[in-house]
Amino acid sequence: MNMLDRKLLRDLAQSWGMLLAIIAIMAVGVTVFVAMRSVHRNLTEAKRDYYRQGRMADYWVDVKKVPLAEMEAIERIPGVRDLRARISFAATVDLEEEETPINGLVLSLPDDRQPVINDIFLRQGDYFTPVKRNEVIVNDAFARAHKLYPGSRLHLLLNNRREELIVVGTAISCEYTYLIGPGTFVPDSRTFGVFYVKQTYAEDVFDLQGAANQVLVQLTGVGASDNAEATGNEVARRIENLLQDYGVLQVTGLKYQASNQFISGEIDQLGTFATIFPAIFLMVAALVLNALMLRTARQQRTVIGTLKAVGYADGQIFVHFLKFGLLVGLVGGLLGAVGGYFDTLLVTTVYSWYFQFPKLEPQVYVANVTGGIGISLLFALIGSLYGAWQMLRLKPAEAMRPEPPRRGGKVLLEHLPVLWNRLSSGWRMTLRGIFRNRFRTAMGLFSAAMGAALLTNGFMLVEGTTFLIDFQFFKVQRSDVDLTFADERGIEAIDEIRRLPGVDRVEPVLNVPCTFSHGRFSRKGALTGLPPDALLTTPRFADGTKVTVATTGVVVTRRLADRLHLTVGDTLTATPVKGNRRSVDFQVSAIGDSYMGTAAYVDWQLLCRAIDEERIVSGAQLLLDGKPRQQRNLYRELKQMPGIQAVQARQAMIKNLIDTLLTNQRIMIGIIVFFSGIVFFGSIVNASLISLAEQLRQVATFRALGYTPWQVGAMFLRENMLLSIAGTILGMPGGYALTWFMANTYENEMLQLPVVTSAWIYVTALLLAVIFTLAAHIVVQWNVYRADVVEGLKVRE
Amino acid sequence: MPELADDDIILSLRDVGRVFTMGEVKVDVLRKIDLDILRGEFLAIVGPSGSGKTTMLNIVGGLDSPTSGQIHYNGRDITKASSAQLTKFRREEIGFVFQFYNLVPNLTARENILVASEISKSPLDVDYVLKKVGLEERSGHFPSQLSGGEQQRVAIARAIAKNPSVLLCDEPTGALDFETGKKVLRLLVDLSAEFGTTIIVITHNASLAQVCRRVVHLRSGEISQVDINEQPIAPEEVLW
Repeated sequence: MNMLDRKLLRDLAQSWGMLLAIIAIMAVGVTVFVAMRSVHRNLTEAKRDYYRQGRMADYWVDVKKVPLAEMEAIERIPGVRDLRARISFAATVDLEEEETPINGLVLSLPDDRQPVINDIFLRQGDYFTPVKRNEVIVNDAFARAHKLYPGSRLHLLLNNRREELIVVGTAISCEYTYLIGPGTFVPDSRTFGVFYVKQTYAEDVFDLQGAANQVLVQLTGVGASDNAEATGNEVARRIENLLQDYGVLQVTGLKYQASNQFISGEIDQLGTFATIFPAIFLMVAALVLNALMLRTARQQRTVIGTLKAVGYADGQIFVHFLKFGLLVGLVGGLLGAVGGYFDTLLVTTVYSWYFQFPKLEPQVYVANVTGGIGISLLFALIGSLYGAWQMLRLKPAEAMRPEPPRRGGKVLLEHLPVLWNRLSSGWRMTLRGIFRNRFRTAMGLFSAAMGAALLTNGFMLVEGTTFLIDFQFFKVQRSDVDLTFADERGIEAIDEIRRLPGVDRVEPVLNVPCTFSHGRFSRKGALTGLPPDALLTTPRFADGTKVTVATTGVVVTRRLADRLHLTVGDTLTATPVKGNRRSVDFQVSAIGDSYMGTAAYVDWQLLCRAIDEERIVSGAQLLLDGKPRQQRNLYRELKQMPGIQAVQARQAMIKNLIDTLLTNQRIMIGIIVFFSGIVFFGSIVNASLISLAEQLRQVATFRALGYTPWQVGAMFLRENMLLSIAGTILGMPGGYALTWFMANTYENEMLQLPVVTSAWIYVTALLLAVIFTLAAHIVVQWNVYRADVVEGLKVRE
Repeated sequence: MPELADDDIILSLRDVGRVFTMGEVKVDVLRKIDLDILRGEFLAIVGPSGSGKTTMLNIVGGLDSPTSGQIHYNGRDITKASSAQLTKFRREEIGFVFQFYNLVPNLTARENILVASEISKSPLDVDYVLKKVGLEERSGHFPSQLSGGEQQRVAIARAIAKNPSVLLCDEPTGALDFETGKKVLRLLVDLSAEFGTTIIVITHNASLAQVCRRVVHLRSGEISQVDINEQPIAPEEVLW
């Protein structure tokens, strides 16, 4: 080892405390980089493989009823590679041990095992046997949640009949990788399941002999790719035209399919995070390293001069100091790679709770690890270049002389004598230090701003979720139980329900599936008819005020308005997909807010007239009196009640949603606070130890004058606290912008994150900044306390 | 030397020794120092480099503690004083003047003095002190805008602003030219006369010691000789 390298190692050993702080920040950046990239790739590949193996459909076409004979015509449409007609119905599950009705989706599969579109992957048991007609394969997560095994029996309310089914197997399917029930956005295997039954059995119980109500279509070529989207839409349009007479309820492309939207959205977000977050940490680390390098340059000024005088070339010295930074980058990168490995395990495990993949392995990729180490080296290099260059510029003779004293002068505040004269000399010193050491100040502000941006962003996501839950579940829709009738019924049905036990209030609902159009824009949806005195579904603006559903107009939610390019006063044309199919024009009277799904509300009686019907309802919303005994009775009666297709008990669903989100939020807040803590702590400790080392003589002088270590430490604390608070305030808009960016790049038809802010976000961020600063000050104070006064006095500045 | 009343002694060193351990080597920097310093005395400690002058000053000023022997301040044993007690001692009783001034570069001349007076129990008026050292015109200047002599005068002003009983000056003229050095010395002599402050000056320049009444010579950590100047000369008469 040559002498310069030996010197390098000793230099590193001497500043280990400061290096540790930089390495920690770098390691966090690399950890996030490696883990997010790896998980991104794991999810992307798992999704791709799963969709391929499961023959994921490109389009789902829901119809009222279509004869199987029509399939041939569809198959002839150019661009259609394969299709499958199946039967799909919402059902209510009746489990012996469960009082609350559970929602389910019943799907048909061929009686004999054969590769099909949206195939299933068996996890337990086997496919259907020819032995019994009423065999069922249950979604694996639901089966585990309810302890159902091959051989178990369960009851489903199918088409008004309570049918007993025998479980032969449990399975997962690529179309329900992210399995969510109606009205929620978090999987809950206790309250929602998918049930696969034999095609022949389904035809029998749903009276669809030789017919189906859903067509799954696979296109030739890569269905999901962007350039194929136009072709796909064209094919879908032709299928729709072909099936028009059978009442097309909904045409859903893969891009808008619920499960796919959530997975793809998550993958996209991971990709974005994997760039933004490591960049924040590595930028801070590079800045802090830069400060350390500049300090080393000043400290080693005479050493460098001597080395140059001895005959070392500029290049050698330059490389010598670059190595200093690169070693820091290397250690940070390696530690980050190890952290990234464990983080990948952790994050992948968390994802496996939400996504049902046949195989989701927490693999860490060499490319990501080398990439992580690479960027950490790159940022380390950036952080060292300026310092190393400073050393190059020194001429040997000049370098061997101590640095000339820095020039002093008045800072801005001194021109305000009213304020300035009231300050103690300690405060004056702090303020002059802040204004004169512009680089150090900028670094402190930037680090604090980044830390604060992370905190603000994290807290805003939490606030947004809380707001969304409150808005959707406690303001817009407040029912405890939602009933869907198998067919539309007269208004008398509501009176019947009102008499059920425990029911406090009942409101009729009429949902009419329609094709909406406005100019050249059109999409499928449903008109929801609400009575004028409706309390259980009330469209609202984001600020919480109710939107009145006028007796003539339509209230659309913002996302639907955006998609159809509607503004208030425009005319929305709605064409029901069944019944008279007469197009009706409604004037948009207001645009309400919604963060879940899209909706269009009209007056109930207006809607009845529009479809030429007499006071009919398609479902009911119930508010319960909250007495558990009554609730049990209600559920018991509902299970027996004819004509009800689905019972959605919203209380359990919402409770689970809130529990899940709260757990997620706790984990997320923990991680964010920890990470931003490292940014604050690392940068403050570093900056303070550097200025402490540079001002050792000053510190010693103060101690000699009779200042206590606390009083000397307070000088550092004042400066750090000012910078932390100012930086935090500066970083808050950054956190807001980051949240806005995340909310607006998250492509999901069903869910939109509200960007809302609240005083607690800023207060907590500021409070945490103060706590981190105080924590960092412990280290600083300890070093002040340890500083050798006698030695310090000897230091030549 | 005539017998002294205890009241006259402000600092007394008995058998004071200071050993520095550097790795496996032990260096006796001070050995068996016996010295009484009188209230209001203007005392010089002279000796070549490495003779232990600064170490002795540090011990007297409460920056360092002896490894053996005892040190009393106003009859109170401060040998085993805690760090906090020593801080209080420095704050209330001692003023330091350093060879390289040790001014805070970020503070003006006036503020550098305030830094000391702010923590003192009975400080002198800052403007009065500034006037005393002849810097009332330069009070708003930063150290980098002051000459060496001016900086040293600020340092002295800072030391006396606390109204200390003892002023410890480590080579106060060491970094100054001849004329400026004389002025600084004059200032110290005047302050001693006016406030009755005990002043201990460390110097390796023997001719400077002629200004003091008593001169303690240190050699290899021991007192080799104590001279009494019956007729101390005025600073202006010193031949450098």
